[in-house]
Order: sequence, then C-alpha cells, then structure tokens
Amino acid sequence: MTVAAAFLASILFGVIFDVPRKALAAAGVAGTVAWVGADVLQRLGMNALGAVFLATLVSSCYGEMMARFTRNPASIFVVPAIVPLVPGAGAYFTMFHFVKGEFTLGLAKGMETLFMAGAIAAGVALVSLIFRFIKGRSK
Amino acid sequence: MKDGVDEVLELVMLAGEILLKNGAETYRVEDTVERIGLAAGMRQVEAFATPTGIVVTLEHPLGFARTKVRRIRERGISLNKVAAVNEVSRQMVNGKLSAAQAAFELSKIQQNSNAYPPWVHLVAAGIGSGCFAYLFGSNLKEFFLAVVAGLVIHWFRLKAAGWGFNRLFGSFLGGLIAAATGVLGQLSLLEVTADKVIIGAIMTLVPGLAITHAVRDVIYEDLLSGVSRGVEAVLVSVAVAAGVSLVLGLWLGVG
Repeated sequence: MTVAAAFLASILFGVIFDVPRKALAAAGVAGTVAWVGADVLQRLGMNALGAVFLATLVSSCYGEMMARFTRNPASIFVVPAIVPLVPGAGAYFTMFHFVKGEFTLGLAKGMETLFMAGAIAAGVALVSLIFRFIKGRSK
Repeated sequence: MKDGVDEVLELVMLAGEILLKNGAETYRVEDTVERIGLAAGMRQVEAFATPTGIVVTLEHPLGFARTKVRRIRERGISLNKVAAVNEVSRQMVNGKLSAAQAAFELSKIQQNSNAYPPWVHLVAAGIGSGCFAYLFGSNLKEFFLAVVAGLVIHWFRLKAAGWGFNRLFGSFLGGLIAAATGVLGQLSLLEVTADKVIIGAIMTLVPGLAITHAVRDVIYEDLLSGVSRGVEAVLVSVAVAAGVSLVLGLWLGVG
C-alpha cells in the first residue's frame, strides 16, 4: 500500500512537472525507488541522512540511465525522483517549533532539514558529475 | 546554405526561449542553440543563457555576424516541451529536418505542447498532496483534506500567474492555504490533526526543479545560473515557510 501510494504520488508529481506521457511510468518508478529506498534503509537502522543520500544516488542514477536509454533530457526522470525525498516534514516541524518559541528544538530540526537538502543536492551532483564524465569520454 | 542568417537566428532564439521558459538546464539551452545553428550552416555559434535571458551570436560563413538578446520574463515548468525541443534539435542535427521544418515544429511546440490539460495538473496536485499526507501517516479524513488543500493551492497558483502576480507570492499563498486548511480542519469537529495535511500540501510547493537544476548548472560550470537557481530555491522555500508560519503563529497565538 505504501509502495502504491509512493508510486501514485511520484506519477502525479510527474504530471505537475508536465513530464511527457511516454516517460511518466519511468519517472514514477524513479520516485518510488527513492521514497521506498529511503524508508527501507531507515528501518534497517541507517540514519536519515545516509538513507536519503543513498536513495538520491540510486534513483538519480536510474533517471540518468533512463534518459540515455530513451534519448530524453535527464531532468524528466531526476526531478520527479528527488521530489519525494525533499524533507517537507522536517521543514514543517522547524517552523512549528520556531513559531511556538521552542528555538532549540527548531534549530535542531532546521539543521537536520538543511542537511537532508544538502544530502539530496550532493547525491544529484555526484551522479550528474559521473554521467557527464562518461558522456564526455564517449564522444 | 539557403537559409539566411536572420531566419536561423530567429529559429535558434525560439528554441532557446521555449527551453528557458519551460525549465531546461542552462547547458541544455546553450548546447541546443549551438547545435541547431551549426546544423543550419552557420560557421560559429556562441550562446550565453541565464534563467532570465539569452544572448546568441551567429557567424555566417561569409564572415559577418549577428547578435540578438532575448529577455525571459515568464517562466513555468513543462518538461514535455523541453523534451520536444530536444527531439527537434536532434532530428535537425541528423539532417532529418530542414531549418524551415524545424521552425514550424518549434512554433507548434510553443503553442500547444503541454502533455496534460490544466485540469489534469490540478487533479494531480490535489491527489498528490493526499498521497504524501498518507505517506506521512495520515488517516482517511486527513487524506481528503490534503486533497482539498492541494486543489485550492494549485487553482490559486494558476490564477495568480494569470493575474500577473509574482511567483514568490504564489508560493507564499500556497503555504498560507496549506496551513489554513490544516488548522481549520483541526479546529473544526472533523477530528484531524493539522500536521499531516499541511506537510502533504506543501510537498507540492517544493522547488524540486530549482534544486535539481541549481546543482546540475553548477556541475556544468554555469555558475551564474547555478547560483541564481539556488537562491531561487531558497526564496521559494522561505516564501512557503512564511505563509505556513503566519497561519501557525495566529493559531498558536490565539489558541
């Protein structure tokens, strides 16, 4: 059920970004891999940062490969892949604590959220770096 | 070499404009412009793109050159258009399309190439919000409330863009509506908690494209674009947060 919800959410996000119809299913898979991957890794005892980083790596790798495979721009797959990982809950609770005046809690949550965003950015960066390197070599 | 330099310049500008307006990375814009220009017989093509404008210089084989600047003011997201322009450019490089045919294809893309009609986008945003609320552990009532929030938010964003509002203001409104829906839900007799509704709804406001492309632009050493997209992502997040915080502040302050 969770997997189905993650898949549906990712597909719907693909629609919001106007991903081409043919690529929609693959974009949905990318998002599902990201969300379910991060979830499973955390349940296995990995910390949230590492799990998000790994999930970003795997899903954007898949996205870049699909892009090469279908001759489409990579963002079609990579953008829907990372959106489910964005720490919406973390951002919300940061605001919640700050508004309540619980600054220490807010700061802790805020740093956690920021680091999560950093992990996603680092994951996307690493993968596009590698794929750009491969592309440059094969020319 | 039948195509005049002015026609080619118009063609590459159109390609660049569609790409920039619909959310392509900077390197893709510059690369596509250069490929199309060279395929149309120019000796050298130099393009410089940022998220808000593009400059292209074409050098004709006979030696003279032409330059044009185009300012990009409205930006939206349609990865379908980006992919379509990409396809036209590839076909032209492979010699399957002439410059004139490419110009025709591009103008078609510009006019109507969203993969889905606006109401599908709207429904997707609604149910997408609901799905995220569910993923964060919501019950059925919270799911439906998040769907409502997502629908209202994106309807407003659609309208706000039409009214000519600043896009950051749209994000602020989005945060406001998300939080208001959640809080009103909790205050009413529906017995829901605001958290999950709000989180589900703000997931659709996350600047995912700006984050991804900021990183990719920097990797391709398009520093100017990368930094401005990074700042854009931060500003959008802050705008959403401001909207949510305003409502939360009122709620917690009064309650």
